[in-house]
Amino acid sequence: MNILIVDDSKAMRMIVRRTLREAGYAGHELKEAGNGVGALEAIKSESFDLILSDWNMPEMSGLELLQKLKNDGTQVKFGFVTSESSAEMKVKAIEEGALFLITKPFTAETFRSALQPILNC
Amino acid sequence: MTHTIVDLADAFNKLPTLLRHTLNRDVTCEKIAPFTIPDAQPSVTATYESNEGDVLAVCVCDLEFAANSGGALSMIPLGGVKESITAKKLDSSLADNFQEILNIFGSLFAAEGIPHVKLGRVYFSQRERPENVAKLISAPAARKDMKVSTSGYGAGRVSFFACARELKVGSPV
Repeated sequence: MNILIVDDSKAMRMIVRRTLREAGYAGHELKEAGNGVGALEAIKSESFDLILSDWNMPEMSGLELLQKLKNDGTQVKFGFVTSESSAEMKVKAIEEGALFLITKPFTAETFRSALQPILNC
Repeated sequence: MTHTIVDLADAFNKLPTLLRHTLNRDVTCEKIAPFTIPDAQPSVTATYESNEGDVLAVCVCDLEFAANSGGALSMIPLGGVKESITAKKLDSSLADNFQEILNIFGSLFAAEGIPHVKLGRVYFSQRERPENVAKLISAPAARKDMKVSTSGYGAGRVSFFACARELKVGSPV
């Protein structure tokens, strides 16, 4: 599977990669973007099976990215990996079409729980 | 008793676990007496704000905490972290990493019945802090101080300050 990691923090993108590996998803193709605009650029040139996106980012937030994808009719599984943890934000994320919201900090087990039903492995 | 919007005691109780999970290593936390970092010494200040831009809490930490935790986040070699501490300035990688840690700290304040709280501004020098933030630090409704030792790196100090419920501080300009 082709997975796009979207976060404005280079360190956090590296940590998401590491956690995916620890959670047993080492075999997947992993690509990165620094914000929603970068993610849209990446999606133009190749298709992704899953987007793991931060919420708060400069230029285009994760929520704006999700809304843009929905409006454009782009079919891709989408989950948030964010420091946002309020019930209100979780409801908003699901209403907009996200499959899950993983709150930072996270563990490999958190990733497994969220991704297992989606990646079927 | 002065009421605050954010619950500093709850945030402080959650801090050790949050740091262990964020840094993926052992972290030892110890409550300490309130401390002051002289203006001339390096420090990092972060504001935590409501969606309306009111500053509800402030985090201040010394260079050692910022460098050690920032280094541990992406396993930057200890030598580079020590060089930054000796030079009294975070290099760009440590600063970026620590800003992400400060972003994650925003989740410490999440609770039912209070406004959504998120990281606002980050100041890498005390001289950059606007007057309203400096005022909150000098006369908070509540404060908590902790010494944090990060396994494989080193120790540093961090303080959290909260404003009174009726004295919301407007967004810095």
